[in-house]
Amino acid sequence: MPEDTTHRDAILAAAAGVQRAWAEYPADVTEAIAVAARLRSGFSRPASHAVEPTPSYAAPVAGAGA
Amino acid sequence: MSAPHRLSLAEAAALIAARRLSPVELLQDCLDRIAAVEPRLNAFIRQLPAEAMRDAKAAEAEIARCGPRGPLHGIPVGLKDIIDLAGHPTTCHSKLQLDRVAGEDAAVVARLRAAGAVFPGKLATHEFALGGPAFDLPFPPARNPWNPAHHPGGSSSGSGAAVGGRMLPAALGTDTGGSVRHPASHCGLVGLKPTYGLVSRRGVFPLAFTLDHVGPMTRTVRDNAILLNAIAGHDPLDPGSARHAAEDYTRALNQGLRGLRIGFVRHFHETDTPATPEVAAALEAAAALLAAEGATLSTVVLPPLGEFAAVNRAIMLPEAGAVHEAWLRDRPGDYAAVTRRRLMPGMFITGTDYVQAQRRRTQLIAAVEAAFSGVDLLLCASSMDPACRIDDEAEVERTYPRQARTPFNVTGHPALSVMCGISKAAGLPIGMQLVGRSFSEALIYRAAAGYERAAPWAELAPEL
Repeated sequence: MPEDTTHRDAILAAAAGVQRAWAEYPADVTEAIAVAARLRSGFSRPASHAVEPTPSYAAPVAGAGA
Repeated sequence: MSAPHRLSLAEAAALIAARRLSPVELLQDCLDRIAAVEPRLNAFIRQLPAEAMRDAKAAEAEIARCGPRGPLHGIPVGLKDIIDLAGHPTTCHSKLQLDRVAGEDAAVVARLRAAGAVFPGKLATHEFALGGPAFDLPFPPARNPWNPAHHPGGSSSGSGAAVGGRMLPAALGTDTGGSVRHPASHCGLVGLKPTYGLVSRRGVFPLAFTLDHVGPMTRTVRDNAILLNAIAGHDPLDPGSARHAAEDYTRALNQGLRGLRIGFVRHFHETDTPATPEVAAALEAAAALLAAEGATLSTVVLPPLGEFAAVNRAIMLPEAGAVHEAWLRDRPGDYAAVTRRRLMPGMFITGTDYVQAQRRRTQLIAAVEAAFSGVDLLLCASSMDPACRIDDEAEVERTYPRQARTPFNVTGHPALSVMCGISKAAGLPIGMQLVGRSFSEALIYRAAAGYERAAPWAELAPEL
């Protein structure tokens, strides 16, 4: 693996708080970073800014319980 | 009368109500069956024969006094071991949870207990309902009752093996990306992922909050409906629980298929993720049989399967990462290797990607809703391949994602897997899905029961 890629993965692992996994299972962490990157292009983004995420947030209704 | 362990839940319940079978006799026969076949199937993490027998005796006495509470009184039901049973560990099939003893029953267990069910054991799962099949865990992986060299599907693997192996008449599983329907398909069972929120998740270890469902796994459609009758219902302590009025899910089982409009989502298995010829032929034959029984079949087009799968993963992985964050940081070596590999990407998916996936989810839900404007139900594939050998890690990794179940975790629609064929090569079941509008479980059961009566699969059973 190129040194700059290793360096990048180490930084990302530290940012994600998984330094221990990076030290003990570096191949798993590198694969995880690649999987996350691939998922980014795995589905299309809604073109309209009005599309809300599911589930939409709704303010609690007083007295309605959970 | 068949050996009690071979009876369906409904048959056993009828005999119990007629005082021709006692819950003690039924349980003892199931325990004998477990002793005979469990060494080949590894369905159980923890057997609870003494506790179950105590409850079966109590059921027997109560039924003798005043009759059964209902069809589940004295019926043994298995629990996937991410579901809390008071006083026993919920291990999640993991070294990380070996000592976590549940203080109280999960909501679904409490409902089953109130209906009189007994619990002979906690069942194997993929680790945390995600990582498996794996051989580096504290318990061995469950195996397929139709061919123990093959996997039973997952993650509700023990539930599939126990019910398919005729050890128990029914079990509960959980389904975040297809984990009830996958083992149901590979073990020749009926498995339902209900509408999101219909069944409480309280007391069930979470995998992904917005995708998790609890569902029944049985050998017949009627049994499945009986189990859903008991576990469905609003739970104010589950924030995702739906306020849906109680129904009798058995009410339409005998109405048949005539007049139903069924949309066949062919592109899932023809072009998106091409199924093996055997699976494709089984689906076509099932569609023809549904039509012969009076349904009107049409072709329906949904967004590509890959879109649903990617959205499911982009949501599931960060939600699971939120659950597992501390362990992934501090104890990564305590997971099975496959679990660690499957969970770790959740630590690297950005917040933006997660929200974009949830926004795309909104559109995918709308697309499926639109499809229902012209049909009553959808028909589609479940797995694109029969179950492969459990020890072929590469083939497991290749075939597990080749499925059409995740769309309905993304959208929340109810989806049921029912057997529609058998693979000649390895003698393994093939399943299909029937999918309905939200809260249309009774209609799905009606269609599945009609198909079940017309198809020859109910006559088949694994030779163990």
